Amino acid sequence: MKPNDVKLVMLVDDSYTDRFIHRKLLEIYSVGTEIIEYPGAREAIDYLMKVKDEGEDKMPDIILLDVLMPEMNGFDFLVSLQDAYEKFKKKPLIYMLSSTDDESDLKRARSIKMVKKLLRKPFSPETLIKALSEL
Amino acid sequence: MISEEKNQKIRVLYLDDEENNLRSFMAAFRREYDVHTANTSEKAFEIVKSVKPHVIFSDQRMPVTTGVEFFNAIRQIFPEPVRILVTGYTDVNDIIDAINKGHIHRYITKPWSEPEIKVAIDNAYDLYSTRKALDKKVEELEKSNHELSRFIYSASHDLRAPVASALGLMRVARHEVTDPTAIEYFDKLEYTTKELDTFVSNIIDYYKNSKQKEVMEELSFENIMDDVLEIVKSHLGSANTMIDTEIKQENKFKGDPYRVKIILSQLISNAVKFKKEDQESARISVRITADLDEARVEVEDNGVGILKEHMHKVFQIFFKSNDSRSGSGIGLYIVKEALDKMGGSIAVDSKPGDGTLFSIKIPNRL
Repeated sequence: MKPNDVKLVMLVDDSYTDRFIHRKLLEIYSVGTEIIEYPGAREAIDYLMKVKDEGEDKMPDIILLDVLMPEMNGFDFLVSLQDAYEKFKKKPLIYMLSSTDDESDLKRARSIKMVKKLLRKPFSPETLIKALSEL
Repeated sequence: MISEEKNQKIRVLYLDDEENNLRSFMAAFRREYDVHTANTSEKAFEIVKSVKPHVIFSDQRMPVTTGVEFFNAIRQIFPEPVRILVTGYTDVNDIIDAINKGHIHRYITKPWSEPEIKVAIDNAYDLYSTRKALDKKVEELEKSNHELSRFIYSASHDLRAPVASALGLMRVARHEVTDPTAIEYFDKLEYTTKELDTFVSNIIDYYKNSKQKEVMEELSFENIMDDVLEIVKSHLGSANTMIDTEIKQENKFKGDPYRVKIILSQLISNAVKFKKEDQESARISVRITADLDEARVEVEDNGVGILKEHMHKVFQIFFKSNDSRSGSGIGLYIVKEALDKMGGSIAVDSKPGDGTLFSIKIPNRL
């Protein structure tokens, strides 16, 4: 997969600064033509459910998902999304992002089939592009 | 002798079924100590509960329970008071047994003398207060240990996040800012922030290595190297570095993935850092050969090298060479510590101006 095959990217991160950084870097590296941002996992799931009901036109190609978020963290997001994700006709590629080198997070991310990879913050578009090219 | 708690007298309980003994004990010591007496073990229990004596004397021969039995029962519920048995020369085997099992501190033979009891009380109280002080110290240490763990946890989670954001912002700025002066400032900012990032990572690695129990897992050095390069590269940012890896692993290998990663990322980061001033890009090669006995890891760079007189010091904590890039001086110390925990070893070979070769052995725990 090439960066310009990516249309819609969804950012789920509670940090305004990190969403800003990720949006900017995606634009600079021309990954995706449209970017939608959610500061919380709950709202992001609501969006995905709505899109599913409406025929998946606006289904993201990629989801960049922060691990540490208040209320509902990245892993909680995946747990609640799991059943619906199985039924998606178009399955978004999920990349998790974390600023800690927590081994247990890394292990957990590897054990979840939906997750392509856990990337380390600061987010590097090169790493994402490389990961996409390996698909 | 006065008890240290609120300048109160030392509290002493004496259990004996013979009232006469109790009376003479009370008469002899009431002025100097806070003396309580009981003629049955039930009464003694009540007193222990309410008065919390420092020292308990008990007669061995009593109609219902023996002194040893009484002490054995009381120590399960109230382990703190120091227990002293008062006895005749009979029942020696029982008493020796009780002392050996730690049920009683010592015994005093009947008939007792006043100075003998006094010395016994004062010594027993010394023991009591030393134990108390030790318990308190242990409690304090546990608390500060726990606080330290909390602090490190916060450092790893709350401190690294804003550092990563700052580095991300600089990454964005590099693409958008064109003014050369501004770019120069961003370069310096990025350099400094990376130093901070490395230091935060070092603290976390140090903590992980010293606190975490060894984890034994089957390791794939390919996967480990992927994770390590991800970490190292995110530290590098835009710095130009070539890292060649060569991994030969034909057997299963069991070891501690956390520590292996710490070692590799520290050594590679170190090699990246100490490139020569005039060098465009650092060139690092990492060679790993894992067999049934051990994994041999070599990390080689073509950087500044290590001066001969510094060679034996590089693994010491807080050792810094005169090089401004030395950082906090805990990186190689952590490597050494992690290897010690895994039963591994490290050797270093270096020529100033040519580069450095670190050779590591990690035992296979299969």
